[in-house]
Amino acid sequence: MSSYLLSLIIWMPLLGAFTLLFFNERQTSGIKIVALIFSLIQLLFSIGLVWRFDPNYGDHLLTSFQFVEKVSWISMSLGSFGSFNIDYHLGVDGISLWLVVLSSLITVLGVLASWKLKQQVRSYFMLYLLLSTSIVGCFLALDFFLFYLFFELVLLPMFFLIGLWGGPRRSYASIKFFIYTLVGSLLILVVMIALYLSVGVLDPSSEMMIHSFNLLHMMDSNYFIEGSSLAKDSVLTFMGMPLRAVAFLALFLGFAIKLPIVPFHTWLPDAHVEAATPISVILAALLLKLGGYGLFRIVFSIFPDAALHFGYYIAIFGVLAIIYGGLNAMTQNDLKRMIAYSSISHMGFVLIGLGSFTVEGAAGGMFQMIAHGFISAALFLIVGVLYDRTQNRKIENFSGLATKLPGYSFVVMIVFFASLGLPGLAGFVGELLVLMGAFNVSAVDGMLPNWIGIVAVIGLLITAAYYLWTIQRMFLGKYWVREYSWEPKMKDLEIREWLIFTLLILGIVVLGMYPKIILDTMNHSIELFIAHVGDLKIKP
Amino acid sequence: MKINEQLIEIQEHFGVISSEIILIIGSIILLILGILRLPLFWIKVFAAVVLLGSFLFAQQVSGFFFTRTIIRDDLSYLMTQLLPLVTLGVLCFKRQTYQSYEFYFLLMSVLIGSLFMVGSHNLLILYLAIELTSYASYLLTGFHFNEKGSEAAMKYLLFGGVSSAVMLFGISLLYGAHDSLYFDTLKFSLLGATGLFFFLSGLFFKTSIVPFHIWVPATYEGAPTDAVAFFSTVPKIGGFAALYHVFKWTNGLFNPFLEQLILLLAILSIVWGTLAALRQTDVKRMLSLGAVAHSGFILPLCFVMDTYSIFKYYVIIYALMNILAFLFVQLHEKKGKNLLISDVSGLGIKFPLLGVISVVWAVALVGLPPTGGFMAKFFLFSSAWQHYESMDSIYWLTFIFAGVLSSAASLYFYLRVPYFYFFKEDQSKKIKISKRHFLILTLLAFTLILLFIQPNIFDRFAPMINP
Repeated sequence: MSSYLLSLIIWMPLLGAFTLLFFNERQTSGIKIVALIFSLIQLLFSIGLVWRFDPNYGDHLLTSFQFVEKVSWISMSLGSFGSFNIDYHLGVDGISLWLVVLSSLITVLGVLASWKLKQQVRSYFMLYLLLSTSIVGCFLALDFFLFYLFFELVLLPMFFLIGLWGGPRRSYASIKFFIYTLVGSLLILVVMIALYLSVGVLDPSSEMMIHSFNLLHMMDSNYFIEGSSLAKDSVLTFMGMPLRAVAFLALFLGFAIKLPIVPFHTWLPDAHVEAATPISVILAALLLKLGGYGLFRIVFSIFPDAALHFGYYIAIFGVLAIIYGGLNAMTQNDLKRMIAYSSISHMGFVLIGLGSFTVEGAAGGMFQMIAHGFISAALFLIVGVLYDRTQNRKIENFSGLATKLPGYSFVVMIVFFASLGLPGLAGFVGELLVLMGAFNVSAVDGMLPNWIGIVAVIGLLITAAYYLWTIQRMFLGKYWVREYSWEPKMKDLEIREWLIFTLLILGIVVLGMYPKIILDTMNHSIELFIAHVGDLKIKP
Repeated sequence: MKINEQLIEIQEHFGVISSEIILIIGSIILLILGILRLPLFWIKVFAAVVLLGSFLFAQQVSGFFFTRTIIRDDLSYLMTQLLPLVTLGVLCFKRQTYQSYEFYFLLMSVLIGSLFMVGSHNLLILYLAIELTSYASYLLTGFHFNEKGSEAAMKYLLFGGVSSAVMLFGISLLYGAHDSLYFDTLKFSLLGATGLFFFLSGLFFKTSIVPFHIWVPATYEGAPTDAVAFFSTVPKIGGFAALYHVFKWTNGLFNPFLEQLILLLAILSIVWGTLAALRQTDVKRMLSLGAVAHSGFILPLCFVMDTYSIFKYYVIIYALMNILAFLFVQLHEKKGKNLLISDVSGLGIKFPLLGVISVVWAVALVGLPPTGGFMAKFFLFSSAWQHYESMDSIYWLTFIFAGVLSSAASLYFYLRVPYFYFFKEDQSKKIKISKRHFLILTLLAFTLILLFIQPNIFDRFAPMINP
């Protein structure tokens, strides 16, 4: 199936960034309109992608990719080192499909949310569009090198977007973000090199081993060269552990820093709090998903054996994130910081879902990521509304907002309830599926003990507690704000904000009421994924 | 062989080293033109023509020449192409203080020495070539003619003198052990290994590997910046190429212990260079320590034999990004004063494109995409992993992890320049930028990015005889 749809989706924002070069720094409205147009085109293309997507394509994980594009990009000979090949290789399946749609939608909303930006508009939108290109590129790349390139390319624009348009501690936050995630991606780099050298196809004509970065080859144990360091029969060890397990852990850590898992999460609250509202939205809704997607597509698919071995510990990390993130969120008095910690807590469910090795769990983890994309975007925009008006977001400085800002409070209620997992809204479905997966697997073969699911449920209680408490403190009671000067600025949502929130809430409600849309398109791919990953589990 | 037969052979071989000969004759003419008080502009033009000539007349041959003292192979062909071009890049940048024709003469002497360093197959020729580069370098260091410059030159001279004495001692031991000074006749013996060790420390001094790197920060700090851009590339790359040849031809002399020792030195250089650079506020000092770390990255490529292409790639990228970084620094310097990081704060608002260039070199030196620096490090780590795989040696694995972690740490200091450029708000700073300098910088930065997107271009630059 030859089509350039995926390339169009990836490169459209970059084309927009180049178009902005022809603009003058002062033509702010023109710049914004161009950015909006190009991101809208990207959104249209990705909707077209959903339209043409065949949900039952392929019968094995390795053949289930659609809209595949494959062109040789770099092919150079390095003497006795052999030749070095990188392909421009794209493809989409049920796992990445909705993430692509989510990221193009959030990109459009982010442009709308940055409509009021005044300083250095052109540079901002150029970096913003570059960021969008690299995020979507990550979701669609099927060549590990290409994936890594996009993965690293996310860092630079993000660094500048946080550092130049952020809050008071922005420079600290941006450097911290950069270094944390760079350590993660360098770990990924080392494993990528090792994988590259372990995977190869024998060229029949020249009898030479041709290595490749093809992710599909890396997922297939038949392509591993016998006796290479990461082959299934490898005897190499590192500090007493088999090298495959070490590689799995390094790769896992690399993506888990991005997700984030608990001991390595401290970049997230800082970066989220210091970034401007639209950038926090991108960070929470899309960047965290890169980590989760990497776990699905790369870590688990390439090292199913090691993943199975460590599944239990991964689930424990998930529980840790849920509880620790939740407890931290409860103690925050900065609304944005609270939401940042709630993100950490919600991403814990993805880990439990993956660790359960069941279709329910994995589908739940995926669904949780998409639902969290909508919910966290709305949450950060909610903070943005308050911050735009008062330059303040301390919970204790506001009270009884429901009487003064009814529309705003209505939005907050829906989004908060969605986030704490009210049935009928998006947050519920993913968490339910994950818990089903966790309990199911403990009943069937005892891979995960029961307590993991039970503690995760307690985590849900904590989530409910801090959201309800926040609603009580900020929105209920008698209307009061800390500073007198804020009074005239406390106006309800304007049309632009209504537009953004309506779209997001629509998404949240539809996902909650009718999750079939996503689950049906995703299900086949998830089943293939579990069949591939859990392959070893069935065998004695 | 009779003496007249030897003379005839030598006469026949002159064509092989035509680019060196062009440089030698050119530099002598340059000196004469200088004495005749030709305007400096024309002297520069003349020097540029000579450099271009030596680039164009580089001979691609292989074999031994001049009674086996000179060796020509792919590597020396690459160097005769690369080093004059790098020198040309430095030349195109106007010096701010103390312009005189001697500067260009010295520049060319270092280049000649470096080229002979690459081409020698005899310990004495190598020693002479190193001395030629060293003496010219001592003088170039002091070209500020102020207290700091003299101090730097003095330090350099003292360290250099000691190291060349040690090296000579090593050579004499090697001669005593093998009764020969040609690389390929050296065999393993205890005396020979000791000699080799002393001899190598001289080359390590030139290439600033860690225990022999103490001169680097002080010298780089005091010397004129274009001279530093030159030092950190031409003689250093020449030194590495010489190391490559030594390791290649004296292969029998090697035992695993020496290999481990060298890997250890490489790891030490990477870690030390990175850690020391973390706290610098002087940009030149910071870059110099970063260059020490980069030496540690190049060193293993010299002694694993199957990596010529990777060595070539790394060296070219290294030269490009280092030249770019130092020229960028020079552009921002005020008369005779060293550039502090705080001096560039807030310039990004007025010169966004220069800021982008600073991002390019910083990111390239860290080794991140989308720059050639990433590809260089990527190839390096791939090769290292292959060696780890085939030998199962913990040293290689440590090398990889030290390299990876220090790359992450180096982000912190390299990125400080773009960071101050964009993130600090300060409207008071002013710089004057001429279009020509800006063009050169843009060209270099663009090349760095291009080499990432299409690294195949390398195959066409100085192609190998038998790929």
